[in-house]
Amino acid sequence: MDPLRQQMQEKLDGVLSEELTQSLLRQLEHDAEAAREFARLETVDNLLSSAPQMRAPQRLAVTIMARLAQTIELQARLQALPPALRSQIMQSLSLSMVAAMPMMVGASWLVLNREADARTLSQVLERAIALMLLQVEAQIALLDAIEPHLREDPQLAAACLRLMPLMMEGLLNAFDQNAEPGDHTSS
Amino acid sequence: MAEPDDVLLGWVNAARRGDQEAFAEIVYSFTDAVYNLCYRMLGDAPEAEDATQETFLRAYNHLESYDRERSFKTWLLSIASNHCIDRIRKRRMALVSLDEPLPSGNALEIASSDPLPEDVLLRRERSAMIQRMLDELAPDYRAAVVLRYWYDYSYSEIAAALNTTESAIKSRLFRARQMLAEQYGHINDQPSENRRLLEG
Repeated sequence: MDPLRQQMQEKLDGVLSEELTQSLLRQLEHDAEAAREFARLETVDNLLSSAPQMRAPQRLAVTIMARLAQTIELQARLQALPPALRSQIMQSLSLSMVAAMPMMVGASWLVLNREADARTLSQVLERAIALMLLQVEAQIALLDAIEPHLREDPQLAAACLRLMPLMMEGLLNAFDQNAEPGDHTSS
Repeated sequence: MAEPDDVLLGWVNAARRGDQEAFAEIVYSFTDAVYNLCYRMLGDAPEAEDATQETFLRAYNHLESYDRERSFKTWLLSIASNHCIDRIRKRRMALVSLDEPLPSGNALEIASSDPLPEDVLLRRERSAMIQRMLDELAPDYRAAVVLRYWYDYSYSEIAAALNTTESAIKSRLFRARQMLAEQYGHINDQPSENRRLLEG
């Protein structure tokens, strides 16, 4: 930042000494371009300084507290699961993540090398993410269905995990059927 | 930034112990401040509401990490700023155009067919225009400008909130002002409605 512009900034911040302010003003008198620049900076500074504070809608605080209560309840329910089961669920999720990452990276590499086109990769990733979201929705529906029976029979969790690859395959097939003819990014 | 420290710390300590009523006091005290920051960062009222909710949930879940030596408000705004910066970056990654027109430009607008007094209308339009200018800035720059102008934070406070150095903040503010001034110059060069807004 050159000294002139630094002085302009300091003047806007109100930290430029009186002596340097006078020096700045003298320079601006002899430099029309710099004077125009400083005038624009001052106008922007005034506009921002006078911009109003936005007030939150009145219901927002209540919404936040309701959402917090829901989150706390959900956390409490998760904590209430038997530690062994919780640990199994966490391990399964971690394994899923570990398994999914190389696939995503590999798919990206293949598509980029074949197509040399970031747009194609973007389309593939969009579909992959859409598929993952569908999978998550399906899993949530499945878990909701078995949740009432989970405490009586913890084995249901393992059965549920085994169903997941089948669900994935079903969703993939549905995706393929919905893909447009000639669309090579569907799978 | 005067905060009734003892009262606030009392709420924070109680909230840390799981007292939701104490946290509700914090929420009621800072909702406007957090919402304003989110709105100025995101430029969209529904998204700002969602980001405000997320900020308070994150704050609740990380109350343990709050350092009592720091201003609670700065800590909270730091969470909000970083969350909004992440949101803007994700928006860009999702290839959503930032050039789309803003919905209304003012979260406080109430649908009404009654004519508005000219000065109120002018103020709202000017506020929306400032927002459009802000939206052109990179998220890091935008955060620095918002904390400087809407919260009157010093360089060191902005640096603390955005986890960076004072010199980085000086540089961001300098460039941000230059960019805004250029935008202003373009608007001012056009004999349009925008010029009337700036002068009005």
